[in-house]
Amino acid sequence: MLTYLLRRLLLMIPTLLGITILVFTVMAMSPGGISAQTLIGGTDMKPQEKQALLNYYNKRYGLDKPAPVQYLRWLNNVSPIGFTIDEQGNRGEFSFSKGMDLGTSFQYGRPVSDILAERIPITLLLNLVTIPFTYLIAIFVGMKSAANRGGSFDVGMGMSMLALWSIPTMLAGVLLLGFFGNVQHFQWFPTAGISSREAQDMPFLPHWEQTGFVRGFLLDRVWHLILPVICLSYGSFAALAKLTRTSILENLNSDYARTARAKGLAEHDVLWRHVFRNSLLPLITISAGLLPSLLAGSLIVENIFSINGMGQLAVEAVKGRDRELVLSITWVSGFLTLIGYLIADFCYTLADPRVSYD
Amino acid sequence: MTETTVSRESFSAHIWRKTLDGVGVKVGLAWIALLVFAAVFAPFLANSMPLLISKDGIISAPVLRYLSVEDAWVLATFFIALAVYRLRLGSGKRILLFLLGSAVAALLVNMFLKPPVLVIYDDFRTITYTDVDWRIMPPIPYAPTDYLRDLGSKGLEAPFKTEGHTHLMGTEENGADVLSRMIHACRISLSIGLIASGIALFIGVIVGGLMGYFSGIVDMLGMRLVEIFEDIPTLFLLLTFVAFFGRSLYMMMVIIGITGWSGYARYVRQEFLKLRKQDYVQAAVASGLPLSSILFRHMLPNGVAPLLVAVSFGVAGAILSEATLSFLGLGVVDAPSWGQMLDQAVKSSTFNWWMAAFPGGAIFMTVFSYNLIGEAFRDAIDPQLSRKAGVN
Amino acid sequence: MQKQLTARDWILYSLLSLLILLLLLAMYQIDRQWLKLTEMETAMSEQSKDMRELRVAVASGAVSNKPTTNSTEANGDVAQAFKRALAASRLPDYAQGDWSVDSFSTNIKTITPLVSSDLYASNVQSNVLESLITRNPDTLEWEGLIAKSWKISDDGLVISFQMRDDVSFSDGQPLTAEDVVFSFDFIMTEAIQAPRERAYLEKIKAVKANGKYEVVFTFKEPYFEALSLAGGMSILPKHFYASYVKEPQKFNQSKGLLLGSGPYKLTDPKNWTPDKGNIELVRNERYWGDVPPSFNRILWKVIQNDSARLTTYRNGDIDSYSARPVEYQELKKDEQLIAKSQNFEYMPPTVGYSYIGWNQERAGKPTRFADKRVRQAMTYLTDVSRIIKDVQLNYAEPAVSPFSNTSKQHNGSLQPYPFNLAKAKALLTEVGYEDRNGDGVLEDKSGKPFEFKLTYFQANEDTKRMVLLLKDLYARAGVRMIPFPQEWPVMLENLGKKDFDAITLAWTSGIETDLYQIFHSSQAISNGDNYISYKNPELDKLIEQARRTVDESKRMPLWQSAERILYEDQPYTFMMRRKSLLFVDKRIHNLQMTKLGLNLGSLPLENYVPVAQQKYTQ
Repeated sequence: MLTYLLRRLLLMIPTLLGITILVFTVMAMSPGGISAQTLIGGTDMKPQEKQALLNYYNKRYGLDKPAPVQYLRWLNNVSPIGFTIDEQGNRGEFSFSKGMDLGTSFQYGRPVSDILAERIPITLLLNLVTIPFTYLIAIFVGMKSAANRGGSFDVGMGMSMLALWSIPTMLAGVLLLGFFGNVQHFQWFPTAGISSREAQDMPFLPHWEQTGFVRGFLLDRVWHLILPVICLSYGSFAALAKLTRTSILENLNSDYARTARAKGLAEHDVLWRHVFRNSLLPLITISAGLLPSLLAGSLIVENIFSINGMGQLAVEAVKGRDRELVLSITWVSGFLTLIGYLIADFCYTLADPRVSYD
Repeated sequence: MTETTVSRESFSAHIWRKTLDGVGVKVGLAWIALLVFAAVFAPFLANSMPLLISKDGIISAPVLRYLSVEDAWVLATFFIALAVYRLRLGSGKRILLFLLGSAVAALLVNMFLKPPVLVIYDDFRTITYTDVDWRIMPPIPYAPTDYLRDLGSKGLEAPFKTEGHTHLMGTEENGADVLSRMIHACRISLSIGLIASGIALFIGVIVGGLMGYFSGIVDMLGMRLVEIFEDIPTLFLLLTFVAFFGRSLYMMMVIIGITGWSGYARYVRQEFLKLRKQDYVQAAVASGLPLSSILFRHMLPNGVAPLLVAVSFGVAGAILSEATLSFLGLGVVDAPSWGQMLDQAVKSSTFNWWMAAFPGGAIFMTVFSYNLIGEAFRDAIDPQLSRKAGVN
Repeated sequence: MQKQLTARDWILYSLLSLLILLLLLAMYQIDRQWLKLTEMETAMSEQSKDMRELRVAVASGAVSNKPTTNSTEANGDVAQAFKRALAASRLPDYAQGDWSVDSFSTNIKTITPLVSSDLYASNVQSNVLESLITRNPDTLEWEGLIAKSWKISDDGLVISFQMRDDVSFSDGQPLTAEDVVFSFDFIMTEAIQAPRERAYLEKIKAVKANGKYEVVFTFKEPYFEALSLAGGMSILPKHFYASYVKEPQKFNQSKGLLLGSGPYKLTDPKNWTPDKGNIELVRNERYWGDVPPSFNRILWKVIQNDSARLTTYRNGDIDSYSARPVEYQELKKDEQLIAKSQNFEYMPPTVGYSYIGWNQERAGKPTRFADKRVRQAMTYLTDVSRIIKDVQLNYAEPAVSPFSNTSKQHNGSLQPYPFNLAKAKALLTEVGYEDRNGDGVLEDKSGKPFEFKLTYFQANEDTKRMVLLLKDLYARAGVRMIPFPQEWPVMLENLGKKDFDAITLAWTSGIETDLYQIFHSSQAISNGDNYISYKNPELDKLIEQARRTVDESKRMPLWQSAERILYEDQPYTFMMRRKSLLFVDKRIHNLQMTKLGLNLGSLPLENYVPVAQQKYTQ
C-alpha cells in the first residue's frame, strides 16, 4: 500500500512539471510574450518612473532573462527544496527547507499564495456541493432506467439527459438568472455572490425571532448556491446516469445476480442488496475525472453569478498575462485533480476489497 | 482469409443498420445534412447580391464574381466528395482520392480566383443593380456581414418588426440579418467540430498507438503527457492559447484539437495493451510476425467503431467550446458564428429572445444531434446493453 | 470472511459524517461570534475614549458650538462647501439613515490610496479621504474644505493654506498641517508605488508646515493648475501611514489600508480584502463636517455580468444602473423599470473624448499617416455624425478637439469635419493613392495596398459596433481597415512600444485640459503618452507658454491657438463625447444636475432617502 502511494506521489512530480512547462512555453512563445511592459497599468506616467518600474519588475521577476532561465528561476522559487535566493537575486546555497514561494501576482501586486487561499475554498465549495448532487440524481435516474430498461422512462430520460448535456452553460445560466432571479418573473433566488450582505450579521443556523423567520448564515449560503449548482451539474447528468444504467445492467446479467434470483430472492432485493453496491464501482472511478470539467465549468458559472472563485481568477490572470498567477493556477488545479484521482482510487479499494495495490 | 473479410463487412453493416434504427439518430442525421447543405450553399442562400441579373440584355452573376476563395473551395470539395462517393472503390482509396481532389481544388482556387477585396453591400441596393430587366435574388437577400447601413438598421430588432424590410429571425446587434448569419455560421460550426476532432483524433491515435505498441518507458512517458493534458482543465488551456496567440478561426480549431486528444490516446493505448496480451497475438509474435502489423491490422479496424463514438461526442464538445470562448470574449469578431451571436444574447442586459432562441437552438440541436448519433452508435456496438433488448 | 457494507452501515457512516460536519460548522459559528464580539469591544472602547475627551473638553470650557445632528443653525455658521448639503437637509422629507448600495462591474484589486489605479477605487476613496479644497458644483470655483482660506503669491509660486482647526480623522486624531506635509512626502518617497501622483506633484518644490494649521506649498515654476494640484491632494493621516515609509513593500502590496477624515470609514481600516466581493463603508461618527452625511452605510457590490447587474437593479438591490445607449432606449420603454427609477441623460463637463489615433512613426520609419493629408482624409471619412446617430443613438456630441465644447479653452468657431467622401478621395489621390490592380483597394506608388489594423479594446460592445461601421465607411474610399480587438494589458504593451497602425481610445478631460502629456513632442518617447509620435514645434511652443501662464485671460487665447493647430493637423480624428445614461432608484431623493454633472453621491452628500422609503435599518 505504502509503496503504491509513494509511487503515485512520485509520478505526480513529472506531471506537474509538464503542466508548468507546457503553460510556460505557451506564454513565452506567444507574440509579445511576457514582458515587464505588460505589467504597467495606467497611461499617464512619467517615462523615468516607467523605466524605474520596468527595472524593478525585471529584477524582481527576471523578465529580461531568456525564457528557460526564467522558467528555472520560477521553478526554484516554487519548489520546496532548491537554492535560496537573496534580495539581489543572487543564488545562495542549496537548501531543503527554504519553503515554497509562489511569487507575487503581477496585476494584483500580492503574493499568489494569498490570492489562491482566498479563491480556492470558494470554488471547492461550489464543486463539493455539486458532485454529491449530481451523483444523487444520476444514480436515481440510472437505477430507474435500468429497472425498466427499454420502457418509456428509460428512453425518455435517456433523451432528456442527452438534451440537457447539449445546452450551452452560459445560455442556461443567463436564462435561470433571468427567470428565477428577476422580480418580473419569479424572484426566488438572489442574483449575485455566494452570500448576502445581511447574512454577515445573522446567526449561523436558521431560527424564529419575534420579527419572523431568520434564515441564518447557513441557509443564506445554500440559497445563494442553488442556481450556480444547477448550472454546474446538469451537464454531467447524462454521462453519469448512462454509466449507472450500464453498470447495473451488466451486474443484473451477471452470474451472482442469477444465483441470487435462483435462491428465490425477490428482484427488488437482488437489485438493492447485491447489484447496487457493485454497480457503484465505476462511478467512483469516474468521480475524479469530473473535477477538471467542473473547474472548467465554474469559469462560466462564476462569471455569470459574480462568484469570486478560481474560475474568475483564471480568466483574469490569463487576460492580464499574469505569468505567476497563470502558472500557479494551472499547477494547483492539476494537483487538485491528481489528488482527486488518488482519493478515487482509495475509495475504490474501500468499496471493492478484491482490488489491492500491494 | 476471404471469410473473415466478409464477416467484418457484415459486422460493420450490421452496426450501421442498427445505428440507423432509432428515430433520434435519424433526426440527428437529417439535421446534420441540413447544416451541410446550408454550409456548402451559403453564398447562394443568403447574400446581398443578386444571383443573376440581366441589364441591357447582358446577363451576369454578381454572386459568382464575388465568390471568395473559401466559398469556391467548399463547393468544389463538396462535389468531389459526391463524385468519390459514387465511385465503386475501396474506402481507403476513396478517402485518398477525396483528399487529393480537395487539395488540387484548393490550389487551383487560390491561384485563379481573385475576387474584389472590398465589398460594399450597400451598392447592391443602388440603381446599378436594381434598375435592370430582371434579376434573381437569393432567398435571403442579406449577406452575413451586410450591416444594412443604407437601410438605417438599428440592430437588435425582433423578427418581422423592422420597417421596410423583413428579417425572418430579426437583426443582431450591428444590424445584420440573423438568419443570414445563422446560415453562414453553419460552416464555422461544422468545420470547428470536424477539424478540431480530426486533429484530436489524429494526435490521440498516434500517441496512444505508440504507447500501446512500445509500452514500457514510452508508455510511462506518454501517460504523463496524457495526464498533463487531462489534468489542466481544457478550458484553462484553451483560454491561455487563445489569449496568448490571438483569435482567428483556424487558430481556434487547431487549439481545440490539440487540447482534446488525451481521451482518444488513452482509449487506443488500452486497446493495444489488451490486444498484446491475447494468446493469438503472443503466438503470432512468437512465430515471427512483426507486432506492428498484427496490432494495426487487427486493432484499428475493430477499434474504429468505439473511436467514432468518441469522435461524435468530441465534435459536440468542440462546438460548445467555441460558444464558451465567445462568451469569455475571445471569439471571432466579424465572421458570423453561433457562439458569437449567442454571446450577444447572453451579454445584453435586455432579453432579446430571438438572439437566444435561434443561435442557442442551433447550437443545442447540433450538439444534441452529434450526441444522439454517438449514443446510438454506442448502443449498436454494445449489443448487450442496447435499449431494445433481444433485438439482436 | 469479508465485512459486508450493508445499508445500515451506510446510514451509520452518513450520520457520523453529518455529526462531524455539524461540529465543524459550530466551531466556525463560535469563531464568527468571537469576531463580532471583538468588533463591538473596539467600538465600545472608542466611544468611551470619545466620552473621556469630551468630558475633558467640557471641563476646560473649550467645547465648540459644532452642530451634531440635523443642523438648524443660521447659514452663516456653515462653511461654503456645505451650503448645498445644508439646503438638502432642510427639505421637508429629509431623513438620515438607510444605505446607499451600488455596484462595480469588475473586481477591485486594492483600495489602498496611491497604489490603486482604477476609477472604482478612487470612488471609494473619495468618501474616506478629503483634500484642502473642493470645487463648487454650481460655480466651478474652488472653495475651502479643510482649508479655511488660501493666499497665492503674486508670482504664482507660493500658495499658503489656512486650515480649519476642528478637523479630526475617523479614529479621533486631529488633522494638522503635519499630515498635509506628510502626505506630500509620502507620495514623493521613491519606494512607494505612486509614480502617477509623483509625476503630477513633481512641480512642487516643497511643502512646509507653518504652525499647526497653516501649510505652504512652493512651486518650482509657474503652473496654471498649481492651486488644484496643491489643494486637490488627498490628505493621509501621518500616524496611520508613517510606519509604511520603512516598509514600502507592505504598503505597495496592501489591499485595504484606508483611513481619512471623510464622512465615511472602513470598519477596519487595515484589513479589507477583495475576496469579500463587496466594499462597505460605515458612517464616520466623528465626522467634523457641518452637515453629517445622510446614509448610514455605503455599500458597493461587485457584479460582473451585465444582465445580472440589471436584474439586481430591477429587484431593488442596487440603487443605480448606468446603461449603454441601445440599452437605455430599450429600458426607457420598460414599465417595471421606469416605475421604480428616475432616469438621467447628461454630459458631465469632465467627460472624455473618444478618438482614433493615427500612428505616425513605426520602428523608426514614418508611416502613411505621417502625411497630414492622409489624416485629414481619414477624418473626412470618419462620419462622426453617423456614428453618433447609429451607435450612440444621439446620446453623444461631436468633439472638435481635446477641449470640451463648453470649455473656455475651446474656440467656438471651429466646426467638426463633415463626412465628405469626394474630398477624402481627392486628398488621397493627391498623395498618390489609387486603385492600380482593380481589386477595389487603393495602392500607393509602390503598389502597397492601403490597409491598416484598427486596434480597439475588445470588451466594449459600442466600440465594436463603431469599428464595424468605420470599416464599411472606409471601404467606400477603397481603404481596407481590419478590426483588431485586444485585451487591455496587451493593448497597453503595444501602445508602449508604439506597435500599432491606428487605435481608438478615449482620454478623460479635466475642467481645464492640459495638452502637454498627449501632444507635446517631448512625450513621443518610448512609453510616453504621445504614442502616435506626433511632432509639431509650433504647438510645442504654445503648450509650454500656456502652461507657464497663470493669468487665465492670457492663457485661454494660447490654448485656442493650440487647438487650431490640432484641428488643422488632425493627429487624432476627434470623435465624440458620450453622455452618461443613468437610472437611479426612486427612493434616492434630491438628485440635481450641477455643472459637475449629476450630484448622485457627490460630497458633501446631498442625497437622502425619506423615512417612508428606507430599506435598511442598521
